Amino acid sequence: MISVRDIEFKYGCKSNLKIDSVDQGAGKEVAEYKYVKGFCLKVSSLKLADGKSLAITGVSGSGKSTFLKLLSGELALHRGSISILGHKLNEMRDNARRNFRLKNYGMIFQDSPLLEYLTIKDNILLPANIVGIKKRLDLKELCANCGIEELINRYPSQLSEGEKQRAAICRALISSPKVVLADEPTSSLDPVRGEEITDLLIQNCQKYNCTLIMVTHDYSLLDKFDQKVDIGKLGDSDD
Amino acid sequence: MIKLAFQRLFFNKISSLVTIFTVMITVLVFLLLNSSLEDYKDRLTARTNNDLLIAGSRGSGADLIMKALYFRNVEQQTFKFDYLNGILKDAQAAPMFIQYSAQGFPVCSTSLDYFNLRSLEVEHGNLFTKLGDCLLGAEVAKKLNLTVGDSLLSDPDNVFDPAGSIPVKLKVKGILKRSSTPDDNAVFTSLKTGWTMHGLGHAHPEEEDSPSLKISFLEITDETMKTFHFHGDMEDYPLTAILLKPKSASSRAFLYGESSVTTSFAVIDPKEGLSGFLDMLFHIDKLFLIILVLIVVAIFLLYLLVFFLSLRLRRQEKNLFDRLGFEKAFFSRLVATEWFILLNVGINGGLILNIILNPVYKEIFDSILRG
Repeated sequence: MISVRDIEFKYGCKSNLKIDSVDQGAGKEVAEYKYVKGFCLKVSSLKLADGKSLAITGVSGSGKSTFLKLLSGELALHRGSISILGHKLNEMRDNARRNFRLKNYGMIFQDSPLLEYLTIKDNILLPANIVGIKKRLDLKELCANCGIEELINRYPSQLSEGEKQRAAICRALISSPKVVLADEPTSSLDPVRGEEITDLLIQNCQKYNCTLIMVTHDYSLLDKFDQKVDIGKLGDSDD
Repeated sequence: MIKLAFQRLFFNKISSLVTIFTVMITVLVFLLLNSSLEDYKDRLTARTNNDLLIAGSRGSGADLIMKALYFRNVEQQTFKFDYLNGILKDAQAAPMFIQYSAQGFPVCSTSLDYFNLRSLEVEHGNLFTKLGDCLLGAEVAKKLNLTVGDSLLSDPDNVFDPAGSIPVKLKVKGILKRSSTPDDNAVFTSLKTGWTMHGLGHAHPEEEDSPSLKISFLEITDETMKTFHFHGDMEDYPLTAILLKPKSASSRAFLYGESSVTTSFAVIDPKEGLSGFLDMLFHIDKLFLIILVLIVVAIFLLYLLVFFLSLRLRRQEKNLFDRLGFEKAFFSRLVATEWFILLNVGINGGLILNIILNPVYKEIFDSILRG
């Protein structure tokens, strides 16, 4: 279960920013303030059951990616609580959040960054090889599921964007994580490939019983998800 | 971590190799320059670390030392052989005439006392006994691939001057034991052989059939010895220097005193004569080290620049590790591991190259020093 309550995250939000001290005469100085409006993300409540999928939509700059980073623990909350798998992220320090992320999350990013100097196989096994995260799924089977079994000995530069994204999905799923967070994984792909990747992600998450939270701009894909939310309607989000 | 670092270095082979070679060359240059200067200083001072004095024409003391101790190709005024007679009662003396070369190596014409004063030993053959005999330094024998019984020609003084000296065919009578001094790179003959090279002694061919027939070199044989003769008074024959070992402290003082009252002849202690030069060398050494350290610092700063630029270029990689949840210092440790590998390979490669190239470099350095 993922539970989010009354969270608030802001940057550049300073209601009273001191800009100058003005001499009022007779040795009195009065501070002069200016109101600066920044970005504030507020989410009052969100719940997602284990093994379900959630699509997050919203206009550009509404805080979709920021919300995902709060869920992953990359950013620290200013207020409120996020509870994932019985752990309160807001009570963890950065190192603990990193460790929690590495062990329990599968991460897929917008620009599918793979390490250029590793083969696809080594990229998929990166967390398992480097920090000993347990490889729970069979690499060949997973790659076959994602249609890249023939490509695992190639380097990322030899693959198309769609193939790289498939490899990123394999990397996210190889340790059979409880939660998969995907930040616009189809944004660099054409609609056909985008749908293909989304289907692949949803199917594999269902197959391996992962909770999927995906940020997307593509409203045509929303029907494929169990739940969908517009980040702008989850709380008072100011731009 | 180490495997990942190696994987990245292998993938970026060219930049890795360039970095390794840069480090290797930096280390190699530092070691070679430093060792050659140290070696030069050691050899220069080792040759003066005894009680021997040098006598010669008054002039540049440094030139006299360079000529008499190191057989360097510098101009040094000669003096008459009869100066030797005034010295012999106070010192064991080895007169030296150093003006010619044989196949590029300096010829030092001297008496047998020279080998005694310098504690030189013959490894193969014997000391020279006759006119035309020679004794080779160990390095000369090695480089010219000569052994006892072989012969070599002295180099002509001036090939375009028909009145000049003609080459003398020198017979190798012995080879000296290696002493790691300039003696290894010299050819030794008797004084008379040296003066023969100078054109003071010669033989007359029995039959001169044609006036146009010129003798291209002089070979001392039983036949030529029949007509061989020297011209002029031998007391007036030239010497370049006299190596002296005073018989006592008072003899040493006397020799110094005598030389101070003559205007044409000087007795000098090589240590004192070279002290100014050595002082300068030590200052150059310090300056040299400062320059080397500055070069190393400049190279280090360049590496630092490359390092920070590479961090900027690798920001996406760092973000990936951070977003996946790797610990905060993971990327820094990965970069540090890569540099550790590169520097290690580079430094060790430089050390190994130094071991391989040092003898070659010393050879080149020696040939430069020999002039």
